[in-house]
Amino acid sequence: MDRIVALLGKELRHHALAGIGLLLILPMAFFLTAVGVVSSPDTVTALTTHQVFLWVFLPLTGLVLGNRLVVLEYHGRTQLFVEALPIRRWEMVTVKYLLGLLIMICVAATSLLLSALIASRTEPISARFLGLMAMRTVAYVYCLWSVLFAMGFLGRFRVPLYVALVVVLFALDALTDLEIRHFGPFAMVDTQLVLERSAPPDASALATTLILATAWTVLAFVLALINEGSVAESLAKRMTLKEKSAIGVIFVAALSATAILKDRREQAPFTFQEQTVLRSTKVPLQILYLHDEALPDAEALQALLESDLDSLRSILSLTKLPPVRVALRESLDASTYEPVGLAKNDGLLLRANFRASRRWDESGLQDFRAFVIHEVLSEVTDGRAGFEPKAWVHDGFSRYWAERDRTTACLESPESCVPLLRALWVTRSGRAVSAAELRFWFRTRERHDEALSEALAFSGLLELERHGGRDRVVQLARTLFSRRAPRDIRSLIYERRNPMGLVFERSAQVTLEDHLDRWNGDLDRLRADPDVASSLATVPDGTARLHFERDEGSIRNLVVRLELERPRPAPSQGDELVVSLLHRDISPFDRPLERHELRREERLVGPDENDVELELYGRYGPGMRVFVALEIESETLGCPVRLLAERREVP
Amino acid sequence: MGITRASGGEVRLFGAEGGKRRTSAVKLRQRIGYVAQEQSFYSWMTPTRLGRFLRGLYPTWDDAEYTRLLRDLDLPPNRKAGTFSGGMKVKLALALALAHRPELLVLDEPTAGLDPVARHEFLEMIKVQAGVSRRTTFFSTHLVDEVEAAAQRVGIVDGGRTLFEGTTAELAARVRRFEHPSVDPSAPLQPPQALVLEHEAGRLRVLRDELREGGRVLVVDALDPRLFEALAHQPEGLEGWTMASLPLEEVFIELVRRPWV
Repeated sequence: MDRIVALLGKELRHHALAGIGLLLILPMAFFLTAVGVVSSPDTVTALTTHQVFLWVFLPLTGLVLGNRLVVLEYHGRTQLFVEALPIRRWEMVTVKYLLGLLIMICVAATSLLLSALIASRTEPISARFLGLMAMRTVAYVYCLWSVLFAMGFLGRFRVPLYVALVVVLFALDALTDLEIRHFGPFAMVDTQLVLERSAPPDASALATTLILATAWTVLAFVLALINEGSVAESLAKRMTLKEKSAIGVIFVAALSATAILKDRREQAPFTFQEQTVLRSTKVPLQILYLHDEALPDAEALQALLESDLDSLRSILSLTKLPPVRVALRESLDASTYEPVGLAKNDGLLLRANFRASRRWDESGLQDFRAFVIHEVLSEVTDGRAGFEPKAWVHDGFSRYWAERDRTTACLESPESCVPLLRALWVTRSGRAVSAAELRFWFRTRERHDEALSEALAFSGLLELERHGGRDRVVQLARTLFSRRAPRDIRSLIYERRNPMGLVFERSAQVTLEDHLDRWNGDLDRLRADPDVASSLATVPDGTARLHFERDEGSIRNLVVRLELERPRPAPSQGDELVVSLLHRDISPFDRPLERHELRREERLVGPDENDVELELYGRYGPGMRVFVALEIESETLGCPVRLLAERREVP
Repeated sequence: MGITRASGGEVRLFGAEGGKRRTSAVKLRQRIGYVAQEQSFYSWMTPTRLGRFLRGLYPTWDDAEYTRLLRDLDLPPNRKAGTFSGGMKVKLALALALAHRPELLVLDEPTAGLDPVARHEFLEMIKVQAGVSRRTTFFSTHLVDEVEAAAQRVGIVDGGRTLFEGTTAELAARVRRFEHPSVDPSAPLQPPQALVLEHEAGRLRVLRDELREGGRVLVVDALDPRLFEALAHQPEGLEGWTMASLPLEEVFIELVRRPWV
């Protein structure tokens, strides 16, 4: 017993500083996790804090402990000193193992109890529920610590083995039907951990966990004790150059093999299971309408999308279209579409409210058709359609193809063509569309927002059709979107060798400069039409300026002042305007921002209010970079108009 | 010591067979003081802290003796072992090995890597300790001058086999060099008749036989050193030959080197 006490005392003193570090860091980690979990709108139970802690911070704690208790000892060769003392080798290993396990269990138990304490304020926590969570937690901790402890004895090979373990688990999950999250120790800490209140964990998963844990424990002791500990001692030596090279080659080969197998793996495509689904026989299109009242709307949408996709397949000579699925979601507003991330080969799944009464009129329907075509083009080009130099054609052609039956009418009566009106509003002050605007399309899109920038690009393709016929537009789209390119550097080389100006000239048989001249001329001509001018006059406009005002200390208030410059719409369109302030903090490296990433503050502006001030108190501090935009809803254009869009650093 | 698995042979400790029954290994180690060739102390531990750690492992640990040893060996008790020089680490290992008053002190090439002054000091300490405590001190070394300076009994192990075991005097007495100053080129000089007879009788073996500068040199290992005394008193058959003893280092070299005959 004296020997055990001496060894334990030595370990505690040796790792006291690391222990104090963990004591300081882990409560902070738990606290931040708890704040994140409790404040998240998606949180079902505050016990999720415990689950997140077990997934993230407990493995990190185990890694630190394994490194301190095992790796440090063998790497520093201090085990040779201990082994020469009157101590049995297994006593030394057992003390380390049990000490690590005890600390891990204490950390996990504290996390469980604190999570239960937080959760008990909003939900009942029974003793049975607590017991079940404790059982799952202990099984998981036993397995986790056994793995990390054994890995410590693998010395210089432990880091490559950790990487290999992660790659193997990832490969099993991605390449086989085995669902890792339902396997052994992972099943102990899946969502059932915090949701299952009465049933014990799955017996086979529990047994697998315990067997795995025991196997790893045995491995650890075998490595430590076999051949008088010489195996662990030799494994702890530094890696030779040959070993490093061999591991590097194996690692790269394994990653390549995984990537190749993943690409080749045929997956059964996602499909709706419900009965209330319309399935097209001409194109891979399904529409989930949920209930019979929505059937007529779904059928109308199916007819339009079927035509869009079929014609798109034809003009781009596509052998295969990605499966498109539209699911009705009546809780969404009309202009919001939710693309759902799916696995490769599963195509597109879009949630939309195609029954919305206010906006899902003709304009809303056209917006949605253009959105679907936009997403399909992204999918068939593996995302290359969104490459910035040609992104304006991607945006414009999506709208153009949705409007293909109405382009002549658009040119004849521009005042009744919503996308053309949008384009004319963007260029309302006679500002010409420039080549730079097209080249740096992401900036243009940010300045005007998606609907208006898409309309601007549409007007350019409409102009191309007017002067050269539809064939020119189709040829341009075919050049840009129908080429099958490999998913590697060859695509990049191709893009570099075929700049957009050259591609445009070859396909449209006109230089981009000449096209811009004609385009701007046409926009000027259309804008001069009295009917157009009268329609544009109903669109709210104004001048918006962004200010950062100092408050107490380092508090800064973000203020946007808007001067409405013209009479607002007729009373029939409503007496009040909806003004929206969109904002968010941004990283030092600029990237395009998606609309759903922005925070939104809305305000109703009364009929007599011409000077509007929107203010955010102290949300952004000095030195932060923020994006700020101001928008006003327009009935005439069927979308918000953006009067301000700036990226600024808070002074 | 249980650090490496024995590849063969047997060990007898304190009159009994050791190393086989694992249950007794701890008890045996508690009776042994051990100084390893490489000192692997925890760098954060001070000599005082090390003493506290080892106190729980040895029932016979003597704090006063340890303190005295630290003082005698001029070791700072509260400085971290990681900051010690090689010589200080060996001294600390010796203090730790002696503080529980072991019946046997085992030193595995303790002076390897030490400078000559530190090596000399260390050997002096070993001699003094062995003399005062009368305990058996068993140490391995490749340096024969250390053996000459400190050892009473010596064993030579070569290729896993024991070539000699006995006192240093017995070792020195066992090998002699026979030298004849000149050789007639027309009639090659034969080995002395007396040695040939003893060799044929199996009482000696020739470790080296070479012609050097016109003379002939034979190095001979006698299984019984009294043979050389007899030859010295009755030098028949050794006419023209001189017989000389060798320094201990040369004896070691001649024994370990592969014999010629």
